[in-house]
Amino acid sequence: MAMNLLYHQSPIRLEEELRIIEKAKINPVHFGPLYSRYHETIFRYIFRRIDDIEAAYDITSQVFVKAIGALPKFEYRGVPFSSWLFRIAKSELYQFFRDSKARRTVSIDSVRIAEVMDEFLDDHSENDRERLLKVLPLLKEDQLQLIEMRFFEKRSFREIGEITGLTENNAKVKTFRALIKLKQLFNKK
Amino acid sequence: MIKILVDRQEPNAEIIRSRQDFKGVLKSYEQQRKLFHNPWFFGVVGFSCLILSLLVLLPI
Repeated sequence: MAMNLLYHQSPIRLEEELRIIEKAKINPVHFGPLYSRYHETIFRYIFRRIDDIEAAYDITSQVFVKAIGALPKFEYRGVPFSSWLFRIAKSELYQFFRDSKARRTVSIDSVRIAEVMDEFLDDHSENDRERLLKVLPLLKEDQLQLIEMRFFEKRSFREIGEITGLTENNAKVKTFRALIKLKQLFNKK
Repeated sequence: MIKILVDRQEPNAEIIRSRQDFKGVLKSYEQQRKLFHNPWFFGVVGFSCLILSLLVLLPI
């Protein structure tokens, strides 16, 4: 699994980031380096869940507006700053879905579909792939999120846990259950 | 209903970077902060709440 360098930071970089956060708490102008560092990551997270690129840019901006406003309440407790931003992004995204009636989107690469299929079958065809794409929307939203983060975005269980507010172990168990549910739906179709 | 998009083209890092606008973000933050710190905002909200409470609590 590819390592997310923004997530797995070196102690020096983490210390530097915490220093910037403390400065930005006093004056939001100092938030600039954090904005530059995480803008693309947050944008991609939103873009993959919405079929409107301009809306994705707008929501990304709103995430950072909210983050600056909430920054005085941020306390580092071992959870990376990026996870805190992802949580704000998730909340803004669902607010957007409620306000605009836009459709929730799941963006998947063919390679990733094949990897999920490998979990179900030793040998799979184009038909199986279509079947999987049909049953994916039948999952509950929280289960879909776990499958999305683990298999389509290749996040570690620790990162998934920190974004969703679960423990690492709980994230692992719930993702496994979501995969079983997906398999059941797949076999029924 | 959920929409599934397979092999969707994502904008490259350069394009995304060109859309960064930290000044715009700061401006929006300042505007929102001013709104919530404006006594008129809470005056209107407070007055509306008072009227609503009176309408609900008082028998017509």
